[in-house]
Amino acid sequence: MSERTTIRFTLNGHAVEVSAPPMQRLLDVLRETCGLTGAKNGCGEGDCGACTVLVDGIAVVSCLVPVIQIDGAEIRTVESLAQGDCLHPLQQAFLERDGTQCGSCASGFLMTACSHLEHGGDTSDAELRAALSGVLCRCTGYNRVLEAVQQAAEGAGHHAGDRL
Amino acid sequence: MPATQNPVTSFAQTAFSERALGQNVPRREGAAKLCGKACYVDDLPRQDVWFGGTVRADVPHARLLGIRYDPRFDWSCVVVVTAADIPGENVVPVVMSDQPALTDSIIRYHGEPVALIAAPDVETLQQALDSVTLETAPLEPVFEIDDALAAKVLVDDSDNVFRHIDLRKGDAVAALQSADVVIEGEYHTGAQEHVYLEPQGMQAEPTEDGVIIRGSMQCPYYIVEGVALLLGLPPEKVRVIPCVTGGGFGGKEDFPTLIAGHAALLAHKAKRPVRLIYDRVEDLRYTSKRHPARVRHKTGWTRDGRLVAMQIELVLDGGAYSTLSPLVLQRSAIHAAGPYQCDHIHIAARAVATNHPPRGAFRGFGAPQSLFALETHLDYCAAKLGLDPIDVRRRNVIRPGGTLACGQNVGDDAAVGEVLERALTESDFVARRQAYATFNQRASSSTSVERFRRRGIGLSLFMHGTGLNGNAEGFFKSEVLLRGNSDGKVSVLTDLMEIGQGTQTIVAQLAAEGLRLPVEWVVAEEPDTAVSPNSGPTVASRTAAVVGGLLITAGQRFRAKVEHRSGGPILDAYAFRSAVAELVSQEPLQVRVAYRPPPDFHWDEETQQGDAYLAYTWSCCVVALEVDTLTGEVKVLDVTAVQDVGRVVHPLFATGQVEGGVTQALGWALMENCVWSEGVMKNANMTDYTIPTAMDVPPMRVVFLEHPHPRFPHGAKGLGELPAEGPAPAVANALRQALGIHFDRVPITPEIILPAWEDRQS
Amino acid sequence: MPAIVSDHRVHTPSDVDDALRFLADHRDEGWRPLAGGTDVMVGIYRDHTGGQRWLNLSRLQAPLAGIRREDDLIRIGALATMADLRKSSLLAAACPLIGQAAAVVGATQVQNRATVGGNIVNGSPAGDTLPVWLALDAELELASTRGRRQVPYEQFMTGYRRTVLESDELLTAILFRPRSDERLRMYFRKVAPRAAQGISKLVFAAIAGLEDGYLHEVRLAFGSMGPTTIRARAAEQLAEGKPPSLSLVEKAAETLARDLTPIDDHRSTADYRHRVARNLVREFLAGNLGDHIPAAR
Repeated sequence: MSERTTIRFTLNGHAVEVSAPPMQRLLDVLRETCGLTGAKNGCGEGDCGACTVLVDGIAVVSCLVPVIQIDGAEIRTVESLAQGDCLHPLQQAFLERDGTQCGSCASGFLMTACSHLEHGGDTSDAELRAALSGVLCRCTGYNRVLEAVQQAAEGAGHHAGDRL
Repeated sequence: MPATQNPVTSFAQTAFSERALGQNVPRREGAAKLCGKACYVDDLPRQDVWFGGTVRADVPHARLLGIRYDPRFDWSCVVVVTAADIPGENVVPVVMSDQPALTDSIIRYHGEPVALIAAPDVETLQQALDSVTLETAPLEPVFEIDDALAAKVLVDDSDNVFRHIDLRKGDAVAALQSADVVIEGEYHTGAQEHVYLEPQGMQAEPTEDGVIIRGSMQCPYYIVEGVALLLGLPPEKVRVIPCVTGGGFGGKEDFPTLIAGHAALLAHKAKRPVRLIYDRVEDLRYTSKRHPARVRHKTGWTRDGRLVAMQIELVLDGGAYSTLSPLVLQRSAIHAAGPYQCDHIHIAARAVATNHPPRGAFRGFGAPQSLFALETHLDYCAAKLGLDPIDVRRRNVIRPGGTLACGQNVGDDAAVGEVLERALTESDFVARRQAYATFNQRASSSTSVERFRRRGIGLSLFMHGTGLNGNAEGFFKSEVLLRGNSDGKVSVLTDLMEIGQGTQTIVAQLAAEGLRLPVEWVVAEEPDTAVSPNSGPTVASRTAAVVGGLLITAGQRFRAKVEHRSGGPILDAYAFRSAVAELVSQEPLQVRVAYRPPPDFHWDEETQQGDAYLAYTWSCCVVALEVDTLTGEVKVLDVTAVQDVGRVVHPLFATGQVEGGVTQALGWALMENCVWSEGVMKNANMTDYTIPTAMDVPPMRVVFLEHPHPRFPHGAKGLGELPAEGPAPAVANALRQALGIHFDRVPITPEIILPAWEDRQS
Repeated sequence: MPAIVSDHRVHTPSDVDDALRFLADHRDEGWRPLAGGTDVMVGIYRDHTGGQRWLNLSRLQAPLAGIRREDDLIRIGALATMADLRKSSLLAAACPLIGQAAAVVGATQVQNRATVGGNIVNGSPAGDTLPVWLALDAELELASTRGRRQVPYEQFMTGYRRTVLESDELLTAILFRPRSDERLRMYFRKVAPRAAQGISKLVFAAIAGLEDGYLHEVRLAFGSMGPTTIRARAAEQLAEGKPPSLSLVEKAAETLARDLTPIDDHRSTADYRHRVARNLVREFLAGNLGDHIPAAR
């Protein structure tokens, strides 16, 4: 019954070749075949955004991408952001502003924000809320997230020790 | 930016002046979460793991006659578990322990687990699940509170009432007779789903003579007890090693015991690790919800707005099994008369059985339901009395030395009036209320787009009792353990779970505060029941306050022990660290502290009178909103939350707790609507069960008043649940100003608002 | 529970002709186009429907994803994504409703994948862009080895998730006449349970000309108000050629029920949908009546 196909793509800068059923979700291929579990399966229908990754620089929900469609693409996941012990400015800002609590939504926000900022997206409050509205968070109420992204965008060095 | 290490300068010079308490220490596990390296249960290695699934009843109430296995499926390649395979007791132990792990006779809710299957891969599992059918004989189901109370059809084995609580202070019936005015109201609140972003999941691994459980949870020792009972093992043969847990909000308090038991049964029979993960639909349909409630108020007033008597009848829909309902009911009842001084109160509270999936713990634990009713009713009464709702609250708010409905004297812990005044100031309430009145007046005669806009501002005043109710804290005898390490750092061992609220970080802070050491030198060990003491469950806003107090004490004793053994006070932090290392090299160095109730703390479970809680946190929530009268849609403009939670351990985390709690409550108030049909949730997916997005959430102003409470050595009173308790009535009260309509239920959806508004216009 | 996906089959044609030939050769084998996958994947994983066959269009983007002017028409390739629609300055000038509609389909991550063709072929009455095509009198270009035909969007949907698309046909483009006339009044509104990422309770797109104080070419188009997207024809006819007076607005609003047939479901109620439809039509028609606007209800 099983039809498998060979898919080649770039994953966080490395060439990857996987054999998978063509309609398998990119999310499952990343988590199970490639062993990158940073993208989470929060809802399985593209609502929560916890599985967001970048395909050719564009943020997509990997639970809705059949792996057949990423043949030849360049995929970036949350695991690509930090360089060794050095956090990406977005991660640093999330740490300092407490932009993630339980952590399930973290990679979703980081990758969505990453794509938004890389494409020169607006960081005004309203624009950012719209840009991040595809990632659901049940812990923070979003305001810490917004602050973190704005801080990263500004490159401002607010210290975690600052009282609000 | 090496931020995986704390980017803090050396503590050498500042060790003793630097206080750990009240500092925004970086989140311990923050970098791991942000790098995608934090390991949640479904992130565990998949090698050699089988996958489990649940065969569920497809009727809400029936007799189970048999289970049919389609012979076309090759059953030799999977493992099936039914009630008959349970080596121990077929029960999920909670309060009344009435719920079986797998039913073998009566089906009491749609989705009730009947059998379990494990398979080597998920596709085989799915095929196996699709190849099972249940033979059932239907029984009449009960879905409504009134039908449950009528008890013509019994869901449980007695009278459909899980628990009945009568809370009496003075003589409410007589006092109502003497009141100038008596005002009645009836209020309804809906079920709410937790929507922790990580669905429920467990993995069980058989060992030679026991089992290891890993998974997503709030209460590791609940699972030890549950799995031991189910497998017929002594508790020490069940080791629980929690994974990083993606949110809980109460939803992972008791429910994980069921899944852990299921995973354990499968692993036991399959003799290999089995992972049981719910997908979102399964999680939404079959896990617990906030109890739907009906609350009736009959309130006696003097003409000038003094509370004379409160008669409150409260009913919670507990679903098919009692789970935590008896305790949720208790908190709901105790909070039902709110933070007000009234000499004559009668609260009659019942939790009833229906054929819905069992309800359970959810942030606030029954208090949001009764407080919604109360705080909405107060504004309704103020309007009837022709008084300002602010003045009505000012007049009746509890003052130092006042007594709550349960007879508890709050002593000096009574900043509720101050909280109210501060919230009025912070939100500029009175001026904005006036401005909105003007706005609405102008809108009603406007010709611009403004004519379809109405604005309102409303508030609520409320409290939350810290920790478990009454004698329960004493029952748990929670323990914490500090242990010296060979490098001179100090480890903290508890079973408290980090579920987003920052437990690992604040546990280290609190121990460091007691130790008077830099927080970086305190290691918060991950919970593992093989080594962690039972510090009680991670629930009830008790972590920072109750267990936090133990940690402070443990830190102080640890320091005393080290200084004693080293021959005197050690002022320098490095010297202290060296002393610890030195002592550890000779023999193990540890300090264990267990909870004991304060000597002046008395609770009578019989009469439900006395000290219901160790302390109270107080809060006032102000919501400003705008209604689009074309659609009935509500846009929340801003929220102000002022609270006295005693000392704030971590201001940034505390702010996040408030903002998150307010957001959840705004969802409950306005959009989170569980649509039930024949006991099944019809909108069981995250597209149709809508929680707020970033675009739905307004800016918030969060203010803490810090009145340290003397019952806790560090003065912190807890915070987790409080912020979720006030926004819903504040929304209803703001809508009252915006539209002039009394909304007596949540969620207040546009489907309710628009017809009410249009009918009022015509 | 993860779905069974290993028995799904996929064919990936390299160009449009290849795709049409394949469909012609395998007409009755149930092959369905797979564009951005944002609806297809939800279906597979929620409904656990196994054994399906997919014609993967991901290599046809070059010929089928463009947005351009073609003589006096605008042509949107069926594989243009919602993000493409949202960002297109050509479309913003030709009809701003399109970008507004595309911006409320799911969230950014979905808009980056979801295609306009998918939204149309999917045939859901709740599709957020659909009333716009109806209001625009858009035409759909359907291709097969038998040739190309143009079908008015209004005739495309024949019932709940039913369309006139034949099993050997592909939707290749949407064509419409640009509406940049300043005398045109346009309106788009999606009413959903939350500010972002909601399934519509109701979508409303409307276009009308106002010349010398008279309404003409009035289009009132609704989604989620029946088994298909629907034009409120009775109300349109009532308004056609008349000045938008207060009484006309009220009459038009009251006439809507002749065409709209919403239902009670887990997302909303028929009553609510009717009320909102009336109010939005009132707002649209009365939108710039100035002093003649009725006082607030």
